[in-house]
Amino acid sequence: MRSRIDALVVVRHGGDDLAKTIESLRAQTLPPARVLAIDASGSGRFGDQLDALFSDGFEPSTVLSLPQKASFPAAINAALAMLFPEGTPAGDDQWLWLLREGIVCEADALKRLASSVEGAPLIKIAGPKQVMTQRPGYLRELGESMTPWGRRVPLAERELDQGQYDRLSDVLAVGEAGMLVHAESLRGVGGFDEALAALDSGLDLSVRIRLQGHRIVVVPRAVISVPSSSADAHADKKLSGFRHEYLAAQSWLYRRLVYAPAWALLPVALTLVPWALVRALGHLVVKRPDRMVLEPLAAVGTLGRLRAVFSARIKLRETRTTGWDAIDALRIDSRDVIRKRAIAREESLARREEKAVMSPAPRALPQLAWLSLALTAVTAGVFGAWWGATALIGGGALPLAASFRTLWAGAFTVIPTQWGFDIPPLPADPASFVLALVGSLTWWAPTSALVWMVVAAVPVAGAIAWWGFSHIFRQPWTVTVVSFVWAVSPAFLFAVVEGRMGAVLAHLALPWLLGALLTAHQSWQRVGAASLAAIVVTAGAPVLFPAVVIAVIALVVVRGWGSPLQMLGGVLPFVIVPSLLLAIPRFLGWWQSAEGRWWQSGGVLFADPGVSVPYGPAPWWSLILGIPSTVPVGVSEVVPQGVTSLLVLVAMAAMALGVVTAIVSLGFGRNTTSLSFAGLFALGLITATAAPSLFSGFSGGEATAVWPGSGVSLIVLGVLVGAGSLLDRVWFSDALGNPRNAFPQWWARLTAGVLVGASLTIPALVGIQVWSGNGIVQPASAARTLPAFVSAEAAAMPHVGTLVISPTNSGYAATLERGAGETLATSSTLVRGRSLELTAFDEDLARLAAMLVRPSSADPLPLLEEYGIRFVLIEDDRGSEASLALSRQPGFVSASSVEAGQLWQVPEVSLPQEPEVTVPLNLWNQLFLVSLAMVAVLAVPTERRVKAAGAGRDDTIAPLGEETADND
Amino acid sequence: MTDHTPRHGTAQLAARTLGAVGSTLTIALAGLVTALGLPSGVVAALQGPVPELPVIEVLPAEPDRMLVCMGPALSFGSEGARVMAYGAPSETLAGSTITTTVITDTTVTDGFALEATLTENPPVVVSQPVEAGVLAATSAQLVSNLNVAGFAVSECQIPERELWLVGGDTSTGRQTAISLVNPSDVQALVDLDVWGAQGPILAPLGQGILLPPQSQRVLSLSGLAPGETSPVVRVSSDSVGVVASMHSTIVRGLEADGLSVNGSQPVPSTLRVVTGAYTPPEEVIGPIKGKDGYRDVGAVLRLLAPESDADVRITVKAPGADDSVIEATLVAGETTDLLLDEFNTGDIAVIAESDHPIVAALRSSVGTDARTDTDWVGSAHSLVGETAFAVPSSGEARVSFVNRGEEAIMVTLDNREVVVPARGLVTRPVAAGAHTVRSAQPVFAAVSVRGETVMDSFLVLPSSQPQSSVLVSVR
Repeated sequence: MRSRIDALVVVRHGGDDLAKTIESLRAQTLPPARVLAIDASGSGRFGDQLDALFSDGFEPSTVLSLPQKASFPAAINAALAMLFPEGTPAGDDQWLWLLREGIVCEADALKRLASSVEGAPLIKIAGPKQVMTQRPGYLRELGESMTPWGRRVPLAERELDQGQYDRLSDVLAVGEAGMLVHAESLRGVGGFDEALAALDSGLDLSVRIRLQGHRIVVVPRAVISVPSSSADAHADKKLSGFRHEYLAAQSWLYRRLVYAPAWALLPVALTLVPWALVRALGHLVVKRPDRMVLEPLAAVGTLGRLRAVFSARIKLRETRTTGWDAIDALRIDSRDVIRKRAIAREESLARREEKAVMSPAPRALPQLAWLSLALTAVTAGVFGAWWGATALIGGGALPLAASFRTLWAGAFTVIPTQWGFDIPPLPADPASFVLALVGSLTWWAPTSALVWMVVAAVPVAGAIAWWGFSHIFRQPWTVTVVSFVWAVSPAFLFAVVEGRMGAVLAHLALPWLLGALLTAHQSWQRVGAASLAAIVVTAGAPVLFPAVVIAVIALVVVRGWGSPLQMLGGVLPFVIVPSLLLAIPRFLGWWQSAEGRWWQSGGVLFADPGVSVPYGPAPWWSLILGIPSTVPVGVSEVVPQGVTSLLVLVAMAAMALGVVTAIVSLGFGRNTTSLSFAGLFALGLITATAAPSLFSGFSGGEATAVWPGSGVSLIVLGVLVGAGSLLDRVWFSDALGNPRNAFPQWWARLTAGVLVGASLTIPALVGIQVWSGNGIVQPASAARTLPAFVSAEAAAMPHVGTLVISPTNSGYAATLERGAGETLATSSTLVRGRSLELTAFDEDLARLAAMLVRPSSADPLPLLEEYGIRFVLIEDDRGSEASLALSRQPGFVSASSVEAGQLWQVPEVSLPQEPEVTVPLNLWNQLFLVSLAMVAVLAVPTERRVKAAGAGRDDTIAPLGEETADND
Repeated sequence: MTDHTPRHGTAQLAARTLGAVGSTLTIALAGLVTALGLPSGVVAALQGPVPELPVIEVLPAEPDRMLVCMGPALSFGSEGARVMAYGAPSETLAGSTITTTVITDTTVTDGFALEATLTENPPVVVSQPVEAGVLAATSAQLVSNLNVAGFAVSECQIPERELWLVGGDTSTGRQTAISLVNPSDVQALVDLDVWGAQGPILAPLGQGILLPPQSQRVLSLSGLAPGETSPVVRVSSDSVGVVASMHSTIVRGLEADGLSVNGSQPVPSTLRVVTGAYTPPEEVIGPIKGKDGYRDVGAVLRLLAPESDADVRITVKAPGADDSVIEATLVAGETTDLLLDEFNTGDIAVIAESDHPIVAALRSSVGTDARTDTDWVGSAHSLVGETAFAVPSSGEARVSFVNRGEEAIMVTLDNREVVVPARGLVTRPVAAGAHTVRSAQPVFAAVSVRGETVMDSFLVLPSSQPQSSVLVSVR
């Protein structure tokens, strides 16, 4: 019995694609008995085109115009209802060939499909081999299956068709495109499930047919070429990978609900969203944060379609005649699923390796080891005197915290107990959190971590810079030279020697941020790394915040042309948001304290964290040449002024050479380096020149400004990127390994030599200062800023107050300190830069100081009691007026008397028994921690590092250029 | 420059050109903007001028004015270990709302008691709030018993951290007791340094004397400098101000004959003015001087340049006589006693001008064959503004004013005006009771109180100036 085959063509956008499909139908060696064109556009506008196409002798043909826009399954169902109305049985030999416009069938496609079903009454569906229209010879689909969990798995990947699947026959399912289906069976199972409009309608139909005990085959020799996936066809456009993933997840979840046994339905439905969240975390762990939102979205979307689920379940229950064993046998088992994923990973790695050949990462060994060794020698020569100190005190250097607990107590909030005991907490500086992380490295004595960080700053900066620059340059020697110059740059050494912890952190993290940002488009791991680096940079030097935000946005705009979704939706928020979340509480605190006059206290917003150290400002051209300020005090006492100036001039000259080289590189360089140089230079210059004008509070009675050194670090980074890019173009051997010794090679040797040699002048200068003991920062054997007596008592009474009175030009300065003195964990820029309006606290303290430094009949005890002050430290000599006045105070016991200060104890004062105040994390802190956890997971270096085969050249292998996601 | 060719193609080239031009423009723009000073200018314009750290001006609450009086006349008993007080002094006060308290913590025993009981008349502390105006007090005591005989007057003193006591004698028959009083609520550690005619005297016993709050301690100077005819003592306290006075007694043969209590004088300076001293005419005192055991009856000026050698020019003034001038050279650390016998007599003043800081005091005596009395008077304070003094009711009192200026000055003494000529000395008798002195220019003043065989003198002390306000900045 010969089958009667009707071809159904679903038309949704018409045009040339439709004509091609009709053309290929007409060319079939076994023509369909009838062609039914279904105009599913909803407007009937293709009626004329179809009539024209069918007019030249395609008989018989029918055009069915649907009243509204319909999906492929709906259109087929409508056609089915028209062809075989209720009650009229479709003949047992009646088959339907389901096509949509754009599909071009090889001439014998129908014939081979038909012959496969003939004489095999159990076979109710036959599917063709789908190949890609755009890439001839590549498979699109050849049969489908499911995982044990019900997810659709194509049996054939998107791969070159070499006949490797041509032996396939019985399959679990075939796609709906080009499917030859038995009409009565189709009707018997209730047609397509219209809820699966975009994806998986063929799979679902196949499952239901199979559950009636029928068979489904794929016919590899019947070939049709399909231009787009069913989802793309449904949407009438090329959908993004994200949309595809979403649709696949949604139809999968939908089918799970439909196929689940009745008893399992409720548990499955209830766990849908939690399970999706777990899977989202899984996506994060495997570095696909872009897929994170999609699973929960799909779960929620599926829950919104419960009506469709129930009607589908009813339909399935009514039509099912056999058990699920029939399906299970044909599922792909888990091991195969894992194998398939592994293959996909290998493929993507291979693709990246192909790309990597164009810009190979320089080999780390042995250059990195030599660099570290050289920089360790430099740091030993410069900062060796600080080796083994318990703490560094002076300038910006303070003890970090007394204990691990106090370290973290100050990570997010600071309670300025020096203003009294009932003071509300203030948000801490972002740097407090970063420093808390640093301090946790030596949790038993947090301050030691800080000392180690400072002592090892130079080699650490070199190593981090090596990592960063290795993503920009191709030759190890360039990376090494540039990293060396970076690690001993004057701005960095000045920051270290003046104890500017924030600036040191920022300088350490800047190349990390740059390297990660410039390669962020390649991997999510780099996005995570960039985000962490951005947190460190913006926390360490808030003045760099505008520059970082502008740079990231500029990068996203420039790079966004290539991969807009990842850049705009991924890089931008992932890089900036954690830093912003960390900074927002302080911003709000600042905004509140600014009381609407934000423009006047902008400097406080950008204030360097910790202690602000006064500096001598330098002219703008000196900033360009890498010198951020006048030489730190203490140098002049050891080195003659002339020698100092000469050394600084040499350093400036080297930097000038770097700037010139960088500018020349604009004529040769890649856009990445040119734009990086220009951007960093411009942002750095503006930051550095604006910084000295930003008033950021008082340090001892002196108004201080934001340090320009962080901006100078940006300039230096830019110049090194530019200069390095030119050096990086010089190869010392040709492709065959023969040495080259022409002008470029000699020029490169000379330039690199001058840069490295001259960069050692500032370390020499700083080293003399450190070793002579004249520096601002001094190594100390105890982590305290107050006398030992106070520190000992602070061990028992952490909130014991010490009134520190020091003479100034016009009178006295009074500050109240708690415990063993100020620590970095308790310092706050909001406290330092607080409003200049006098508070009750100011007046109380001034009154108290006045009655102590002068003979007075007033009784200081009530005020001492109120503020919990048990110690008074006069920073003046023993015979000074203030010390003498204090010695007349009854109840004051002289506790220690050294040249630097006279300490008096007031044993009568009792401290209020203070309940342990723990400030809960606010919403912003929690959000920050969540975002930090996310980017930290992303940044975990689990990705296999792409190894370049060898020294590559620009013009080696062209990229494949096509993303081949799984589901399109 | 390089051996490898960039990727070619129009799109590549265009992108690279665009990039290079864009980069150059960015750098040039940034440089231009910076050279024009725009970033700092904009920030500075928005921010306004850099603020000054607010400074709070606090006017300290003035402590009460406080004076410590000398207490009863002191002498060491025959066994030399126990210090005895004889009788009670009487205080004359000049002030409006005066509070008097007593230093009860003392080691002085009652010289008239048979048992070693503590004296019932320890030194008193006189205090008055600053608002109540000037304050002065004077103690006076006339003693005549086997151990001590003579007349003692001393101003009640302001506590200080460094005090100089010039006077006394520890040779045979002479006793000098040093009374130290700590009137404050805080203990003091006091060091006593002693100089003598042979230079500084090493006196470890005088170091680190603990004066508990509100206490009096008495030392015998002979314990520190035995057999010293011309001692000078510096009392220095480590913390609070203390008061020290020197009680000098003389025993000739077996008879007590002479008493003087002198307070401290200002820290060494290059100008010393000693006034308020009376030297009797030679015809009265001359015969006594010649007697055996009366070698310390003449007028003597004791000088010390503690730190460095000094050339001193000494002018002796007496009313109605020309100034006499002596030049002397002092060896650092060695006390010098200059006899002033051949100079004028009466209410004299001695002005010592030196090229290095010195201290100076004058001893003089009055008396008859039967009985004499000695007076030590220290260098006077320079007085400016208003102050007061109190004159005891015994004896004849005369106040002397010395003007060191080149112009005559007007001193208001109890609303009467006294003109003190340039570089001159004026003496006025004063009645017992409170007196005020006001002067716009520096003037030196001291009061001598005397009878036929009794004499002592006291200094007019300046009243402390109110403190200026303190500027405190709080951060």
